[in-house]
Order: sequence, then structure tokens, then C-alpha cells
Amino acid sequence: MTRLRPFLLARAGHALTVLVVIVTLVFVLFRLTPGDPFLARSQEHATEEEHAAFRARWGYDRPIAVQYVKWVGNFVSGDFGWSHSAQRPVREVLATAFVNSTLLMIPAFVLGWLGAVALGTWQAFRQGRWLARASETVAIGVLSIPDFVMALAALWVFAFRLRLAPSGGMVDVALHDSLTLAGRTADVVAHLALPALTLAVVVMFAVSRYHRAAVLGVLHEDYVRTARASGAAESDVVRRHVLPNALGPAIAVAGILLPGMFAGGVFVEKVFAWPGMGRTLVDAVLGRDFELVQAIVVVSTVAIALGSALADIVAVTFNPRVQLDT
Amino acid sequence: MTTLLDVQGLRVSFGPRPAVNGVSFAIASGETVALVGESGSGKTTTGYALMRLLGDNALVQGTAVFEGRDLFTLPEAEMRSLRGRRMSIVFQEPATALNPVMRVGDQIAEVARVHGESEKAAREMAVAMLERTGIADPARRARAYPHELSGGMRQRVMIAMALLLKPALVIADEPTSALDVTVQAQILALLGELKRESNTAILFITHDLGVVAQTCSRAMVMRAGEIVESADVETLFSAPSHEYTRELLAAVPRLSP
Amino acid sequence: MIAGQAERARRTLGGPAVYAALAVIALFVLVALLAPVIAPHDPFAQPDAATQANLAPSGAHLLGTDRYSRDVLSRLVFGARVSLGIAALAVGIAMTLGTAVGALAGYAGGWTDRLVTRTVDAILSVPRVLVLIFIVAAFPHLSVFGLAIMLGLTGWPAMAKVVRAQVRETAAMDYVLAARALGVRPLGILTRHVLPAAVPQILVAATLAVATVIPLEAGLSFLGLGVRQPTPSWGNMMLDGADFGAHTWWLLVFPGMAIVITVLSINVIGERLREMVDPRVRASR
Repeated sequence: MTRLRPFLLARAGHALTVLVVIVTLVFVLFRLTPGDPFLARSQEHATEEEHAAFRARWGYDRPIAVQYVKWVGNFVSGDFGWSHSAQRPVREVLATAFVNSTLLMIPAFVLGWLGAVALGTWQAFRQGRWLARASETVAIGVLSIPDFVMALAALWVFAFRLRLAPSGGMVDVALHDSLTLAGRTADVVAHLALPALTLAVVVMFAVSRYHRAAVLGVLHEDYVRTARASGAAESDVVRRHVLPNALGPAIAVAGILLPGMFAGGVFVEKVFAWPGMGRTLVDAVLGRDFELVQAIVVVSTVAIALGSALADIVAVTFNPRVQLDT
Repeated sequence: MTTLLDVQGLRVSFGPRPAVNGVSFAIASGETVALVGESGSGKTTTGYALMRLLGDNALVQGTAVFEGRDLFTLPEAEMRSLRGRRMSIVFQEPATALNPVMRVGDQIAEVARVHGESEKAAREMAVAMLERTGIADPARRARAYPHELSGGMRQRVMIAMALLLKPALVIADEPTSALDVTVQAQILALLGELKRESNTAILFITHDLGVVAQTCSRAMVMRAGEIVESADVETLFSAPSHEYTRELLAAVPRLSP
Repeated sequence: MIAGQAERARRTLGGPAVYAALAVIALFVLVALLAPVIAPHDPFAQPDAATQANLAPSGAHLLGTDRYSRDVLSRLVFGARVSLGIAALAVGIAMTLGTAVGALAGYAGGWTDRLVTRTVDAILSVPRVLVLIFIVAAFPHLSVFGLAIMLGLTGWPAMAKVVRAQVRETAAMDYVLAARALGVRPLGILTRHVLPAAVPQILVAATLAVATVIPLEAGLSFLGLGVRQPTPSWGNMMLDGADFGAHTWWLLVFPGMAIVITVLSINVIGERLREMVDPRVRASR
């Protein structure tokens, strides 16, 4: 495994470059727009002090190079600015939103990903049989439904008509504070169930396409035949030979998908009124809260760059041959 | 010598035209028999059919009685218990026949594990077998991945897997075609030694007449899915009775005029 | 003779699903083009907001009215124009830009290629939704036209990747080397030899791009960030319907179905195209 370290360093370097490029691009895009963003985009009744504080914090009266340094420096040191719409430091708003998003995205993603691996493997093994083909058709159908339509449909059927789930939000506003810890947890979980399941279904069908293709590629490999010739049962063959070689794409997709969900889950969060990063972002845009928008964009892109780097590392530990390809 | 395998009327088709068309032969225990032919003659398909390793799209007819039981009517679970234990196969291309993300020692041990040995015993058997196949420093090599080994070593690993549980029949599908000539000789010698130790019969599938002459006592010539001649090796080489066999022999380049 | 052609057509099209999908798309495009002629009412007209708002489908208003008493069917028809028009323009831009950049990178090779690839990968790693929301935040008075352009500008990297891969493969072929040896200028080689080979892949990518842009625009409009009122888009029409308590199911169902059916049809066509173009799949038939 001595070849692992230079590979990791190279990958880390690559991730860092990507990070710098993206962050710089974001900065450039923000500065492209003419005029003072605060005046143009914040609500009319901002005070003069707030405006002055804004200019000072981001260096608007200084040359562009200084602005860039100040900008990067602010983010690195954790000063994300002041949220005008929430009247709180952006950092606090982000922290809450981030935690809420995590609560929703992680279970949704885990469920969806595991489901995708199961579904994709099953479809590959049963390829050609009518049930598998039918499920592939269903997959195309489901993937053709935009996120927000799916969310609306789920909400309407399960919450509104069947009354099986709460109709939105993260907690029952009236009851929540008066509940015990157990009660409050149950409350959140109840509100979590439907949006998480909706997201999980989307993730499952999206990832299963990659995984199915990967398993199909592996199924015809010679070493699968060797395993069978040794007398191994199908479950052994799948577990020890097929999956370890086929999981590569599914893991790579995971690395990109998971951080992407945090901002991309916008639609589901909006429909279910879940107070996560996505919904906060949209509200910030509609409310012209410039600093909040900026911070969310930066944090999200950083998370994505890190996520894909992490996925690469996981993929390498799984499959020692990958090192050689770089 | 007792009859180990008796094949009658084997037909294999993947579509309208059969790849193997009514093949019958018998192998006695301990015998080394060659199945010779050009590519496309159906010899590999015959070997895979015996192990029931052909896919669902293959139609297999006929009987193959092995150690008293017809392989083609056995339930899958029983067939699985035979594979690797009483009959095994050495594949042609060791580079792709080994799982790239699994250490070779584990792959060999899997054969034992699948047939009931404990994890520990299986691993010990694997290392012992690696040593028996002539690999130096077997304990360390067992922890290697396939891509870290040379072609010849990989083939030794495949042989170790095939002979680990001392099966009664080994189907060797062109085991040396992918190797250099010098390594070929070593591998053939190894196979010879191992089979003598455990009295294993070998069905040697090959297109290389030189290999046949070196290792086998009997040979069957196959062409377009049928066996056209079957004789002991001396007779075959000195007085072939079928025209096709004569053509094959004539195609072998000779060093002396 | 005719039987032979019909047989070939059937084999090419690959089944009833593709027929249906093509018919649907043709129909929707026709509707979009003929919107002013087909729509029974003016999509912006609010005849009587007091009594005619939120009416269920009836003879007078086949698909009902919305909260401003506007006819839903007319808005749906004009919405087709808006949504499909935006998609067409956006994909057109993405295709042009993406092909240009991809061809350049693929053909030039060397550090140009590396630079472009790194940049494209970096851009691709950011979710498009995020970039678009942010652009809307930066330019709050974006017109429909501007929205289409922004969608196109965020879509070119994916296309560039496809084109680059194809161009690299073709550029290595012997007949291209022969053309270069004969002294044909690079631009000539690109247009006459290399790019034509990339057309199948470009078509597949373009089709799938449309299937991506339509939900994207619809979603943004649904959030209030895309097409703004009073201009109708299938997405923003669903915004009103999202209030379930008002029991105005027609505001949700009709635009929603329009979006899903359109995207599904395009996906079906795109999948079929992809099958036709993939050499591995073709060989296994």
C-alpha cells in the first residue's frame, strides 16, 4: 500500500485546486453585477449603519484584489456576514439550516442509496425477464417526474387525503415546546418521514441506473464464472465477487449526490416547508438577503468539492486497482 | 480402471444450429485425455456443459454419468457440491479469471470454505497448496492481488484452486495457451505431478498437438461439434484414420525435412 | 418494397412507446406554435376576479380558472410556448457553446485540453440549481429571454464533455491523419471530418438536455424564481395550486401532467436514440 500516499496527496491537491477555482468564480460572478449589491438587493428600510457595516465587512470601497482577500479571509475565519432578513449573524442562520437539512438528507440518502444497490443488482441479475424490464420502465417514468411535482403529489396523497403524515414543517408548532424530549423527537421524526421517503425514492431510481449498468458489466467477467466453478452459492458470488467490483460507480455518484442534495433538495424542502438550507436559500433570494445567499452558495460548493474528493478516497480503499489508473 | 465419466449423446445449442452435436466419450479414473480441435469446434463448450456453467440460453441434451450419477439431472444444490470438490476446471485466461479486488490466497481458500472447511483451515490449505504448486514464499504471495503476479504465477493459482480438494476430474481448458513457452513446460509438468499424487483424471482441451503428445495417453479429435476420431496418442500420431486428423497433423510445422 | 421500408422504420423506432412519445412531442410543439390561434381566451385577461376566480373545469372554461379568474386552458397553451421555447433556446445555446469548446479542447489536446477539462469538471461539480438560484439572486429582473440564456450558459459544460470525448476519439482516426497530411486546414478537418462523426452523440446529449431543462425551469418558476407572473409557465401555474386547502386540484393536475408527459416523452426518445448510437448495444442485437 505504499503507493497510496502519493495518490492521496495528488487527489487532495486536485480537490484544493477545484475549490480555489470555484470559489474564485463565485467571487467574480458576484462582483460582475454593477453597483452596490446591498442597495440593489436588500430591503428598502435598511439602516445607514447596516449599510456601512456591510461595506466595511466586504471591503466594497477597496480595490478588487483587496476585496478578494477580505472575502476569502472572512469565510475562512467563519465570518459570513449579517443576515438582514433574519436579523442574526449569517453563521447562525446557516448552522440551524445545515442541521435541519442534515436531519432530512442523511436518512433519505442512506435509504435511497441502499435501495438503489438492491434494485440495481436485482435488475441486472434478472435482466431480460419481464419484471425487471417493467421496473426499468417504471424507473424512467419516475425519473421523468420533477422533484417538486413528486413532492406535491406525495404531500397531497399521504398528508392531505390519507392524513397519514403531517402536512409540512419540521415540528408541530403548537405542541412541540410542551412535549418531553421523547415526544419532541417523535414529532420531528413524524414530520421527517414523508419528505425523506420522497427524496429516497428519487435517489433510489437515479442511482440504481448507474449501479445496474455496473453490475451488468461485472456479471459477464470471467472471475464470476470461476467462483461458480468452485461451487460457491449465488449469494456468495454476489457478496464477494460481484458487488465489490461493481460498487465503484455507485460510490462515486454518492460522493457528488450527497452534498448536492443539500442545496438541490430545494424543491422538496419548499413543498414540505422544511427549514433546511434549500428553503433558506430560496427565502433569502426572495427576501433579497444578499449575504445569506452568498454564504449558502459558497458553503455548498465547498461541501461538494470535499464530498467528491472523499468519494474518490473511499473508492480507492475499496478497489486497490484504481490507484494504477491515475 | 473404473469409468469415471460416461458421456452419451451430448448436444448443446444456443440457437438453431448446435455447437455440440451428439458427442459421446468415456474417461477412466486417473486418465489424461485430450479433446483436440480448432477454435469453434465446440470443445470448450463441451467442457463447460459438463460443469453446467453455460448460461440459461444454452439448451443441453444427453447424459453425463459421473461417479454413478447423471450430471444433467442433478438438482443445482448437488451440482454445486460437486463443483470444485469432485470436478473442477482450470480456465484459459488467468488474467481475467481471478477477482481483481480479492487476494489470491482468499480466492483459493474460498474453494475450501464453500465446501465446509473453517476459515482458518481453508487459509492454511491455500498456503500449503500454493507451496505445492511451486510458488516461493507462499504465505506472502497469498496476500497478493492478481495484478501483482506474473502470468505463470496466476496460472499456478488457478491450478491450486482446481486441485485444492483433490477432485476426481479436472477439465483443463487451454491452460497454457496464454503463457510463454518456457512457462508452459513448467505448468504442464506441475499438472502431471499433481494428478499423479491424487490420481486425478484430466480432460485436456487444447488446439496444441504438441501439448497432446507430451501429456496425454488418449486423444479425441473434434470438429464442428462432433468427435471424428478417438484413439490412443501413439496411434493417432502415427496412423491417423480420419482425414481431418491428418490435416491437423500436417499443419504442425516440422523442424527436420 | 414498402413492406421493407416499414420494417426498417419499425426496427429503427423500436416499439410503440417511441411512436407515442414522438406524437406527443409533435402535438405539444404544434400547440405551442399555434397558441394564439388555439387558446380560447386571453391568458392574461382577468374578466371578473370577484366571481369567476377558482372555478372548477366546466363548459365555459374547460380546465377551470385560477385565482385571478384567468382561463387555465389558455394559460396552459401559452405556457407550452414559454416552457418549450425556453427549453429550445437554452439547449440551442448550450449545444453551440458546448460543441465549440468541446471540439476545441478535443482537437487541440495538450494543455488547452487539460485546462478546459479541469474547468469543465469544476463547473460540473456544482449543482445547476444552485448556480441558477444564485444568478436569479444576482439579477432579480431577469426576463424570460434572459432566463433562457442563463439556462443555456449553465448547460454547456455537460455538452462540452460529450463533444470533447467524441472529437478526441475521431481525431485519432487514420482518415483524419490522412487529411492533415494532405494539408487540409484544421477548421476544414473539424467541420468536414470530425464534427459529423460527433453528431449522433450530440443529438443524444441535446435530447437529454431538453429533458433536464424543462423540469429545471418549471421548478424555478414554481419557487417564484423563474418565469414571473403574469407570464404563464407550467411551473408557476402550479404555485397557486400548492395550497391544498383551496381544493383547486385543476391548478395542480393539468400543468403537472403537461410537464410529466413532456419530460417522459423526451426521455423515451432520448433512451431510444442512445441505444441506437451506442456501438456496444448495437453489436449485441
